[in-house]
Amino acid sequence: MNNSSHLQRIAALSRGLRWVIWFFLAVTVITTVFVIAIPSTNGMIRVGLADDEAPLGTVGLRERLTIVAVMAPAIAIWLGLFWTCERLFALYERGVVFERRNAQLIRRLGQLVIGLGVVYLAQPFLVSSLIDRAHVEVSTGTLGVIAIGAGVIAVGHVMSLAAEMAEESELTV
Amino acid sequence: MAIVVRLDVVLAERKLRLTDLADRVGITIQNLSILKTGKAKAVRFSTLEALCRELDCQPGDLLTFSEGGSE
Repeated sequence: MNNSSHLQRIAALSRGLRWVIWFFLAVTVITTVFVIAIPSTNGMIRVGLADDEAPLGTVGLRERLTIVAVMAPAIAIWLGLFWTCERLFALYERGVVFERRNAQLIRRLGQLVIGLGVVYLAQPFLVSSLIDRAHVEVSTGTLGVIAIGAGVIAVGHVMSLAAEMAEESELTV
Repeated sequence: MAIVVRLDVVLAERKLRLTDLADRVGITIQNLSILKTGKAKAVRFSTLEALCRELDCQPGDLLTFSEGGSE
């Protein structure tokens, strides 16, 4: 199989993955709007991050705003992850698979994953300090998320060095 | 870069074109263009040798070191 057919397969796969990313993003937005727009009178809402659910009617404005404020950084990071993946796959689709730009985006993904882990680590403490009925529960999986992020950064760094070496080899006459 | 490639100067002195030199030394014009425009990151001894032979010059005529240069 030659390079051209490899690139065609990568482009097709990347195009598909970009569609998946946009699909998930659209589903997330639609679901969020649907849940907010149609309040259930006897529905439950999570006031903490574990199983701290309470009837919707009993959650005051201060608590709702607190929940939104605490959740917002994680949502922003998730959007960043979606966007970075989209840009990375867009590069792959254009046949840019092994350049510094790819390495930069992979490093960015790692940084965002670490950021997400840190936010998830901080969220329970913030929620429990601001909302009385929520309790602190730290998942060990959060530390795993941070470790995965560090691993992705390392991969991005090695790829950056490799791309630099390839570029140097190309510019050797 | 601190190393300045003077291939264009040497070519002008010998009234040669890049395409002619490429044919004579057996290096692609793209690679010679990379060298001439200063984009090259490294030069093989074999390339330098071929250029010096065809242009009848010394490596120092093709490459100079500039103190104030930076990448």
